[in-house]
Amino acid sequence: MDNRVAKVPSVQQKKIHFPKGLIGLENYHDFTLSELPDQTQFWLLQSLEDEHFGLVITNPFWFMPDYDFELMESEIGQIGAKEKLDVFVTVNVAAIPKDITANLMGPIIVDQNAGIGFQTLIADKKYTTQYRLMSAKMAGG
Amino acid sequence: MLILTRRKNEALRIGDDILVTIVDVQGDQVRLGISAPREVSILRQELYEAVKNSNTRAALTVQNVDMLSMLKKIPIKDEKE
Repeated sequence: MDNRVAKVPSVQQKKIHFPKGLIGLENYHDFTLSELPDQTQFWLLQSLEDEHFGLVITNPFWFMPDYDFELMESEIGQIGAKEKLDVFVTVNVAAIPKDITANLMGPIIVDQNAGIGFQTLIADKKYTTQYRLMSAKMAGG
Repeated sequence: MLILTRRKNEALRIGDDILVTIVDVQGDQVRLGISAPREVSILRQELYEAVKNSNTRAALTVQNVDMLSMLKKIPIKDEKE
């Protein structure tokens, strides 16, 4: 079965519950998803349980339109219809722009209407945990 | 942790429906065959660690959020590597 998902998210400031937490960080279950000032492709996933824990996330399709993976049936069962899901990837906001990377191996799937999300793991060698958002060319290299 | 000794072509069963077979042993490499229901996720531990570490590192960088505005100068359509 084809479980592909792809579209640009429209984010409402909303509480998102992660029943299983994040990968390796299973203690964080409740977050708010909110917009970042002056940003159109980056959002903040802020823990409600720990004010010091937050992640910048982005829409992977703006820099990689053919980003693609399949969800397992059991994962889809956790949340609503796939048409209503948004896909984000976490961003490592390095202090130097050319070192800013996105983790394409651990996308975060969110059903904003249901307020539920989870992080999945893509075991596909074509995706890295450190994809540079600014190519060497654009960084003036 | 339970530790078992198995030889090539031997197997072990986990629960009712997971079967792990030792397919081959060559020096320090072991090839495993795993039969499990579709809903069971099977992945290399290092991938899990990579995503865990990436999550942890990313969470330490939220204070650099202003740097994202530097990326705005990228023409999106040319951004293919």
